[in-house]
Amino acid sequence: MAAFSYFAFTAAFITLGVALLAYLWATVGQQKRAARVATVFSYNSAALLTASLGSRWIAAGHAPYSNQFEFATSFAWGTLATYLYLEFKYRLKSLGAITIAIAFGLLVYASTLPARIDPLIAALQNNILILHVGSAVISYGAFACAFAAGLLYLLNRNDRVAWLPAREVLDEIGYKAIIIGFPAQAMLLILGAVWAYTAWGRYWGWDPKETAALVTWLIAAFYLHARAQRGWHGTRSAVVLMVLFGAVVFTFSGNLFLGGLHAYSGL
Amino acid sequence: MLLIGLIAGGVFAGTVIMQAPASVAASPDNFAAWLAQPRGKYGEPWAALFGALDLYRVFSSLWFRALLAVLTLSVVVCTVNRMPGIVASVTRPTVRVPERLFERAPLRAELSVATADAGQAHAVASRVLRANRFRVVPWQDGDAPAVFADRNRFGKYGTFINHIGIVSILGAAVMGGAFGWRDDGFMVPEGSTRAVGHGTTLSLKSESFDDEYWPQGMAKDFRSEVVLYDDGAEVARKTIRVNDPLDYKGIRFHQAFFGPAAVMRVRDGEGKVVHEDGVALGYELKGGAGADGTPGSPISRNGGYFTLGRRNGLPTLAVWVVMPANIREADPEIPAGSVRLEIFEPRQARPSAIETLPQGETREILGHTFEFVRERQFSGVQISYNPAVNLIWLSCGLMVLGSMAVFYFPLRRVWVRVDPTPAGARLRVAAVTNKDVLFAREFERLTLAIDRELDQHRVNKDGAA
Ligand code: HEM
Repeated sequence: MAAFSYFAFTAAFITLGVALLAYLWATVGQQKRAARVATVFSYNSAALLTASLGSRWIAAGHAPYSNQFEFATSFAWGTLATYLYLEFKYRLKSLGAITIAIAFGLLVYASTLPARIDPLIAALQNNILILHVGSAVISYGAFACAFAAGLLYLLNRNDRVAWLPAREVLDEIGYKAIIIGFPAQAMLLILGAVWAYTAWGRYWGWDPKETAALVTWLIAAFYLHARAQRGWHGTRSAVVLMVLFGAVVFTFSGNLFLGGLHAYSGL
Repeated sequence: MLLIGLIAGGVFAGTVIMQAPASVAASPDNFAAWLAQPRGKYGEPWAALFGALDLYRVFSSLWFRALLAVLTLSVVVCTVNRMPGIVASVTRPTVRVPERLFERAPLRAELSVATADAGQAHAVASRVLRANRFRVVPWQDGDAPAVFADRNRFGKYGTFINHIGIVSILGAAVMGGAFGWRDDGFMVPEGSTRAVGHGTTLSLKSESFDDEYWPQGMAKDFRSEVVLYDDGAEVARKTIRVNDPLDYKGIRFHQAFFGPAAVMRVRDGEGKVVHEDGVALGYELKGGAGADGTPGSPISRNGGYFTLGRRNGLPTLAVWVVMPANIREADPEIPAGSVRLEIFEPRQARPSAIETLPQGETREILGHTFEFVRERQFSGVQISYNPAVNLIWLSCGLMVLGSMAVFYFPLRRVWVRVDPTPAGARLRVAAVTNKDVLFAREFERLTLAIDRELDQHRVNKDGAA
């Protein structure tokens, strides 16, 4: 099972690389056929990654969140899944050039890490954690898509770049990604609080990692209010999306410089 | 909006700038001493600037609390202000719109119907909208039958549920802080019982403590068998683990940490046992004062104390029990399997006696006979009581469900107007939206569906004719 998991990971990795090239070609070269190839390869990669994580789950007897390799792979999966959902909904492929690059980057990072299956330390033996990490996978994936939309928006100054989608559409997709990510991020925080309450009898402790996740959520709330109350759209909103993704990266890699209670999971 | 930005900034500052631990921040003296750390890390003038802005204890600072209070207030004000408008727009929507809307709306379509009359076209449009989960309100503008249709109108109320949830989370947090309590350093040696305190009549006994590890050395399981007594009567018994606390009337006992303990027996001059109990060696002593007050070894040790007798409100003796912490690294002064006793008399800064005592042996010190019976472990338990925690979960649920209602059940409104023409009818559809590709697509689908139904109508009519 473990061997199969690693095999599926490698296959997903290669497939996603092909998808990335195809997305780039499709976007910059305006190739419709390349875009179809890109989508097919992304779906295959998503399926392989699902198989890899699933077989790992079975082999280890616990959900794949015991080390950084598993986190990086899960987050790649989340980015891929939310992207494919948005692509399916909006039939818009140029976002793929960036989101697939992020997912691919995560897989590259994962491939540099030891892929061994670790047992779960005492504090992590809790089913709430499956949902906690699952929410993170969805919210970070969604925020990565929002980032991609914002970035393309900023690149497409004055709608002059012909091979990029219309800015109006990008602006909306950014919003749609946020309304997926925002409740998921809220669930992440809440389930983290539930777990902390079970493990330590306190639901919130201003632990650096949970605080960073709260900042991320507040930035998303800021984005929503700027949009609803002040009519922020376009460039300003896109900049907020950049900051938001910066916060996600900061939170994800937070234990490198923050320490705190999350350190023991390597995340 | 600005507020949310400010709070995000404040919380962010609290993440990147080192924070004083809560125990330090609570005491002015300790906090002043702690300030040396950021000075070393950030250098001047930054350290002083951060200090002046109270950025070392963001989450207990006055400005942060004030910000949260203002936030709470403004959420309340916003919500109350918006309520009448939103309620009115849901319960009494703008059903009648002027004809211009059909010429100017961002989403609009026009179908000319040659074979059906206005009434039939109106019925078709209503049927299609209803089939797409719209609520349909017919109306009449002069001789033109018209339709107002909306979907997900109650989704709008989600915004109240969401914001009420936020306010109530903050409120519940304040309540929990005011009426709850917690004890992070509760230690019970195996076989001993300790009073819980905090105004309760509870006491907790640890029957045993066990720790287990994976072959790789990582912690696999920590568990304590505990028994809870209320006024001396057993009321609960459970094996508590890291993720599985004992809950008794809202007071929760969490397995949190552990360490060594020593069982000590003390007899007085007549040979009567005056003390027989475990002492949790929960303090880590490092390079502290050595045997006679001289700077001690850098070897780390564990220590704990118990007291004996009581005269004029003070114990007659305080006994520190110290044990080497690391079995791999031999302690030059305390052999493995022995404890060192440092015995203090009232109001003395230095111990009156220091003795090293191997397990199982007795020693006469200051008129008492001390015996180190055996080594055990203690269970470190975090005890917490938070009467508002269920309110927190409820509020969190409201917050998330409320925002999901707004996000995933967006209000959709469509107006249809059918003007009779000499040739049949002219059917127009309009919708107002703030740029929503998905709705634009749905709008297209809806008009196509109406068109198709009208076609069928024509076929049926032709067939009948
Ligand atoms: C941390 C604090 C806050 C959070 C997490 C928050 C959350 C949200 C969310 C998730 C939405 C979008 C969904 C919905 O409409 O319910 C929203 C919308 C809104 N919020 Fe807040 N809110 C906060 C504070 C405030 C404050 C202080 C105000 C008033 C000044 C406010 C006023 C509004 C308004 C007017 C909307 C617009 C709804 C619309 O028309 O789409 N919120 N808020």
